[in-house]
Amino acid sequence: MAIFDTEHSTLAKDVINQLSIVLRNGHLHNIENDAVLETIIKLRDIINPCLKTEGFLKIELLGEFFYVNDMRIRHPLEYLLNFDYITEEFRRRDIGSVIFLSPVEIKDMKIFLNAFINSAQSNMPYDAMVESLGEIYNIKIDRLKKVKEDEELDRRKIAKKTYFSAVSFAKGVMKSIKGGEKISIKKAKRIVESMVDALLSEEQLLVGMTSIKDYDDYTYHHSINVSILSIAVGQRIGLNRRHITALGIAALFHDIGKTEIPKEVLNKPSKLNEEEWEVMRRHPFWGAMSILKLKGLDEISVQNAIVAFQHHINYDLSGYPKLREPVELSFYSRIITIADRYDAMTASRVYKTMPMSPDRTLGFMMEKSGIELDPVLLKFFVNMVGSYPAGTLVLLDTGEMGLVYEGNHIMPDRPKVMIIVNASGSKGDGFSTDLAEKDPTGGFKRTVTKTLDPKEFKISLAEYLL
Amino acid sequence: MNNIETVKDLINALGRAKKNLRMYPVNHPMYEKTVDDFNSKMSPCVEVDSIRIRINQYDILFNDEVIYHSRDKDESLALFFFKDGLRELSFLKGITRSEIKDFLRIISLDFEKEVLDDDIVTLLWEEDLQHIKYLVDDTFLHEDEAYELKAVEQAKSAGGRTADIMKAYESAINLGSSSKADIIQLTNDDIQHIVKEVENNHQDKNHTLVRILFEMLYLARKNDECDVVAGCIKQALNHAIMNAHLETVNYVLINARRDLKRPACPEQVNVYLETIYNYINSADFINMFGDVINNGAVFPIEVLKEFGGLLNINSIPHYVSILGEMKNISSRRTVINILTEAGRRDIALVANGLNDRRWYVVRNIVYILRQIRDKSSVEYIIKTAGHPDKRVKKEVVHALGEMGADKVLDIIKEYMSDGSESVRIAAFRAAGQIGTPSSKRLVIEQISSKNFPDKDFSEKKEILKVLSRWKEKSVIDFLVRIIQKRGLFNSTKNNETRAAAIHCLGLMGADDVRQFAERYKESNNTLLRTQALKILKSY
Ligand SMILES: [Fe+2]
Ligand SMILES: [Fe+2]
Repeated sequence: MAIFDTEHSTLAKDVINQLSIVLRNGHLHNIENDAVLETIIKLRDIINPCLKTEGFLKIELLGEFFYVNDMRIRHPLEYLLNFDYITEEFRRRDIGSVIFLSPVEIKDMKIFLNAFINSAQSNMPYDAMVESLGEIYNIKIDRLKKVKEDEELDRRKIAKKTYFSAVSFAKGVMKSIKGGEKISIKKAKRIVESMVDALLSEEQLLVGMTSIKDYDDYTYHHSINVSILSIAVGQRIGLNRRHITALGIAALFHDIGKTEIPKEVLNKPSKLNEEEWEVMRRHPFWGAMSILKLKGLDEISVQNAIVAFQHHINYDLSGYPKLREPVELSFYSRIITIADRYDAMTASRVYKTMPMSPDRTLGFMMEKSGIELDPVLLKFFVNMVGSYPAGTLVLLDTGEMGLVYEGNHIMPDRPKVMIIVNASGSKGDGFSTDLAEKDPTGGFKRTVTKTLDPKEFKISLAEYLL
Repeated sequence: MNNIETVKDLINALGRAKKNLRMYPVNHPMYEKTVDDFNSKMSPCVEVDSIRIRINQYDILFNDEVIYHSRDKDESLALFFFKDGLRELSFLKGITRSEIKDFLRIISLDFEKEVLDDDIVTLLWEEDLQHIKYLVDDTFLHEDEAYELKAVEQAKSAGGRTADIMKAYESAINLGSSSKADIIQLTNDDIQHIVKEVENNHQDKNHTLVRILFEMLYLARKNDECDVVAGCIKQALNHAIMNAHLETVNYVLINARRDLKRPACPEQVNVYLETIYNYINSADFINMFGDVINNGAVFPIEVLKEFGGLLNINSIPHYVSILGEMKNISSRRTVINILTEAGRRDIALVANGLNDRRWYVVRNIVYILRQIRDKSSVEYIIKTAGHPDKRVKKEVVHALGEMGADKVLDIIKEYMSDGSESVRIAAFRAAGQIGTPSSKRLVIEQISSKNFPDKDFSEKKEILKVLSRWKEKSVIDFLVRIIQKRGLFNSTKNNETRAAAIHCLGLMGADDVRQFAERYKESNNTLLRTQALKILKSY
């Protein structure tokens, strides 16, 4: 019987966590140091019993996740820092997996650790490490698996399909609500689940989809974008599937109150006057109202109503609606407020203000940390979208210019970029590249030097990213 | 590869297990047995190989052969899986009993009856079982395929026509430098903080909702909006009470009462607050609460007291009425605590409960009146004095002792010759508690009566003990007289009375007691001798 099934998954997490601790300590101290030795002994004592029952132990990094003997390991929040560390160290060396083939001894582990640490100095760390490991037979490594070109295309297709199906669903739901019809929560759940699935395997791809704002039906896209961004945070902070779904649904319905706002106000191209603002500011109230009217009170509708009501109330309780008495903001409200703010500010239409570029928006939001936005959740959010969120226009050290289409939350300054101007200064054909890629000498091929706002130059993200 | 017959057998067993589990609650031994039975069928199969079954509308197939067929719309296992979109199910090598149990639990839910917002696919997805995989037909999620094409086309044409990429490029080259959002390292504290938040997130959100509903009541501008909000507050109150969250109910009561008193409270809000407040004091609500209490809910005493204090008098008769329905001491105590607080507002309403035909209700009401300690309740208690049950009598005499004055001495006197010893003793104690010269006289008069020495020693001891509260010479003299009295007959009884009197003198710390103790330390009467030795030892 496999020992890494659901009941034992803590064991699998412990394996990865302890390996990370060993590597980290090995970096900080001399390998012969007692502290390092202690962590090695602990790792050995975790690994060897597993090897006795399982025969072998493979720790593999695939996409955003670790797998232990082919079982996917859920991101454990309590070990988050260690998981991030080991992910980055693996990627830096182009290592995809470490395989233990038979019980290990301290001296084997020391050789492995030495090989791992020293390889960082090499231009070709993977090869260097294979070479140093040559003498031990029971610990092997394998190269990081790359997503192939056509697979890449395929997964983009799936992400797009998931995204637009969700938007089309959101559109249907809002129309139903406006018409006073019942809506299917079962279907809403399934839609959100499909987004969670897409985020679980390819977090940044779906997040990247939210950067395009040029749709007519922006309201519907907005609700899905906020849902995606919230789910991504929910997943990072370790909510279970049921709670992530609830969060995603609450986000989906957060602006449902806008269906009550007269079209002339909602779609007014110019700035709103005070009276119109007054109407606009009522949408949280209307939102909570229509959710409660629709379904009465159950677990889901209660959460939805709370979020609809609270999503414009700031962390310091300023904002709207004005409260008679201070009330604690729910966890979901605080997450969704951040996602909502980000999507609204980067889009032009939601608040009739100039849209801001994603990176500037993040900077702006950081200024509001602890005042208008929950500081800890905001950290998670900023880390999730990365220093250069999708939709940022970047100039690279190669002289190329490109659009970020996928962030990288492990190496936040190394997103995936679509090149739109070549190094020679001529218009490019839009090939995509990963800034985490290295050249044969071990240096990064491309690095961001400057960022610009694509909207300022009317560059259509849709044209390049869809 | 498993053979067809084995898998056929397995699927039939699955159908039986599904039916079985619906009949038993999760903690029933039969539930566990059903899981065990199915597990023992599944284990050897997956030992051989993983099992993958395909699902059609009315059939289940294994290896392209039909192994199950049923068109029965209630019974068909195939249809049951099919209608939520399941098209394939795989049970993989390494499946555990707990995974099987989770799977069986999910499929045995009553999806028709329970107002579930979940379908089987959602539940399997949430459970994320490692060794049970499934394929789902989710075409219904992508109904509008044209939307993608339309939206993409529209978005592409919306921007970019005048895009000046080269202009952007030029400015980028000439741009001095630009800022980027720095990634902020998460600290261990951040993570601990979030772990706590995630844990707290499991808590019921009803209380937060209630607070929001209160805000909404003030934000509402139309009557139908108020109707919805008030209706939801009632629902939330029901939810709170069903889950024994009395704090939420208190919150509503405090706010409703406070706002109702405000002159500035808008008229229409006033009306709804009134409705809500009345609802909490209504029979409907209180009966529901009664069931919850009877089912074993317990509340912190401060919360109960606060709740009781917030109710109005309309609630009193309903609480009196559910008091009789309570099944055990702890649930009765809960209602008593509420009534003790609520009852202060109208003693007469509480006292109505004294007419109840159930002796225990009457006793509880007397107890409540005693706790309230309002002088006016004495009148009602006096009227209950004729109650035949000795447990009620004891409570009454207790109450009279605590609250009464000389005017209740007649009743107490009657109780002093009650048929029950415990009532008689209680009556003497009550007289002692009243503590007036008249009550002292009454006690002395009773002790002096010619039948007194005939009582059992234990009763005499308790009765004489009552006198010890009056540390006066006259009382000491009276006790000394009892000790010195020479009886012609029944010296045993006299010795017992003597022993009880010595005991009382001892309690009072009277000087004379030592002398008597010396005298009787070698008495033939065991009780008297023991008493005397005890006194000597303690001096
Ligand atoms: Fe909003
Ligand atoms: Fe919004």
